[in-house]
Amino acid sequence: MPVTLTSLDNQEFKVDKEVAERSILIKNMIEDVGESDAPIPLPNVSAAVLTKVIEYCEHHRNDPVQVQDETDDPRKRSNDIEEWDMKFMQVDQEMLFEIILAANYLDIKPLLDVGCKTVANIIKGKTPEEIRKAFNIVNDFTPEEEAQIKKENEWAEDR
Amino acid sequence: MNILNVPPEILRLISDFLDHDALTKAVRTCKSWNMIMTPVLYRSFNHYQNPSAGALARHAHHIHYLDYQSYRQRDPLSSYSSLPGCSNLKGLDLSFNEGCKNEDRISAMVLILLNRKLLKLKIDEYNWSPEHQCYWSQALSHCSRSLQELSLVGIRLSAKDAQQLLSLAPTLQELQIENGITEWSGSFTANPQFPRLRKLDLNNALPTTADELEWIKQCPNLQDLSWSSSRTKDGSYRVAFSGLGTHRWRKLRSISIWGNTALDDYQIAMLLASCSALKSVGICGTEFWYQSLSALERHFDTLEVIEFKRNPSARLWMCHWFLCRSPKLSTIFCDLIPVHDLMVSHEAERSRLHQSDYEDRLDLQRLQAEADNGGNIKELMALVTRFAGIRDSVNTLPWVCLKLELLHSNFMIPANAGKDWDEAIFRHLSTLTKLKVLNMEDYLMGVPEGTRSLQLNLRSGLSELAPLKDLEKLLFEGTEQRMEHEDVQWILDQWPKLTNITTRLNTKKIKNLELQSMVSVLRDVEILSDSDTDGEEWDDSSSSRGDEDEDGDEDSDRDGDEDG
Repeated sequence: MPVTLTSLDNQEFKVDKEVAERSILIKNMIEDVGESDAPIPLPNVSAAVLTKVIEYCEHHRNDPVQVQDETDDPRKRSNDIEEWDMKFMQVDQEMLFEIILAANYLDIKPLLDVGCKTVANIIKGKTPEEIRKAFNIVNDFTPEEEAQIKKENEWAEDR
Repeated sequence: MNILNVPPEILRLISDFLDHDALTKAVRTCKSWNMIMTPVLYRSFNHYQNPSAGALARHAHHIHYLDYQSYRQRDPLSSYSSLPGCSNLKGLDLSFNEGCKNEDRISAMVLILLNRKLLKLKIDEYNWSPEHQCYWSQALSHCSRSLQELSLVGIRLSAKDAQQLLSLAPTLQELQIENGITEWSGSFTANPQFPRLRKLDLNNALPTTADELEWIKQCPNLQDLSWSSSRTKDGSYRVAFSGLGTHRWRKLRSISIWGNTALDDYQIAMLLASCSALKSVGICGTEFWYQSLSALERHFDTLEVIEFKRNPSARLWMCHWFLCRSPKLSTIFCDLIPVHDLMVSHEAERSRLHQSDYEDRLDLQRLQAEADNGGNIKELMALVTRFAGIRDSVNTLPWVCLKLELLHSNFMIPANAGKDWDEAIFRHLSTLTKLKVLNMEDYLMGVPEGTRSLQLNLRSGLSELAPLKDLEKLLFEGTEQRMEHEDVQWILDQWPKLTNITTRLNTKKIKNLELQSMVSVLRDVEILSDSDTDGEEWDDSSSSRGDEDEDGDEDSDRDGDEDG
């Protein structure tokens, strides 16, 4: 049974329920409302972003549901992105962050993870200056402040 | 939309995927990133990382995982002053050796008291004395009521302590007690329930009567049981162990029995038979004969990990049989694998017959002994006959363990056997196309007299192994194991994923008396040329003991995740 989603700019998207329910937010909404033909409004997501998100959900429609990883070792790997996901994430930075925000809002954990990993991979291996350049960040530290932070955290640097 | 509009909680998610080094760069980019990511940077660190005392004091409240021993050693004078700031710990790893004073134990206790949300606690007490006991009793009685993992090494638990342990039972998922002479007696008579316990590891801390064991049966979700004793002569827990075998272990997926020579074949068999669908079995330094083998057989379809070493009455061909019977096997650590007649030649036949005559004689002796002990001789006779048949045919069977990722064993070839033998083994090995780690070191297992090690040389047929494209790690540096430059070069050319080789190169050109020198070759590092190999170079990972542990842990973690 298809579900209709309405984007921020009032475009309607018809998708299979199974695909739409990759989003826990939508899944819960459908469960709460019950069977209904009424479109589901997604006022935080533009049509362009929703198109991408649906593409992702279509591709991953048959993935097993991710069990919430309770182990609290916080350091996660970012070098295990599937090839398809890697290609899917080859978008400009604006779209990349839009997708991450949408995945967060729609509660699609695997997509959120892939997005965060992609950003992490951009950060990795760069100097602070290169990171700033990559993301248009303005340095608001004085050279002394920055030097002091570097010194304090030297223990964690690769040698 | 750019990264400055991304809310802090998303930035925090992103920083979860950054390693320490990347975090040190990220926190220097701007003030907002610094605010968000510094806590992530200080959340945990390993033994080799040494934040200064000042930095630790400033960021103590960010720390989630603390290894107290390494911390204490690096900065013994200033350490205590900053410790009380650690009040958000989730994991605490404490270790006390001879150099530790009582103040250390008091500080540690304070940490335990402060951290009410501790999930993991590990205490290694290498220098136990009665006067320290009060600290650990206190620690146990005040420790977080949400504790999930507890490991106590070298702490002699009294009955009262065991009672304290009980109060942790509702949340406890993993419990390890090692070298703690434990007064189980009387402490667990109330039949406590450990509803969440998944993993139990008792090492030299075994219950000695059936009564003391009852509580283990009250763990309905137990998946992983380790039972080991180095006090081989002391068999007082034999009775208790028998009690394990009469229980139905519905969820148990992993069993590890180490060094319990006081147990007999029948007891091991009972325990193996009381489980359904084991995924991981470790049986080492333990009695293991045909009854156990027959019981293990029922798990062949589900087994993923086998560790099988130094079991005095086990037969070497059993290791070979595992390869022929367990299709899901991903990891195997075992004794030598004899390959009497992977290809039946006249010579092979003779050698095999010789060996089986010997084994037949052993079996007969064994039967006699079992008869004297009142064993069921008729059943045993049937087993002996059946397994003798398997023994004689095992070498002609194909290997079914095509998913094998880690093979740690060596192959036993009669010393006088020709090159065709080596080639036959290489052909079998070449079917293991998923193999990631091949460890053929013969240090641990030794090479029996009259046999020789398989040589990984192009001359002996190494090129058969070209299909092993997934291989990441190769260890081949045993007593007799040598490689030539051309072999290493071939390996580097053939196996694209290989990151690590540990082997000995034949360095004939060296004038040094020691012709062979140790060389570790890391990918992207030039193979040391002959003239450079005077000294010994060790790779970090060349300790085979450490590797085993590491791999074992990974496996058990994986099991846990799947079931959870």
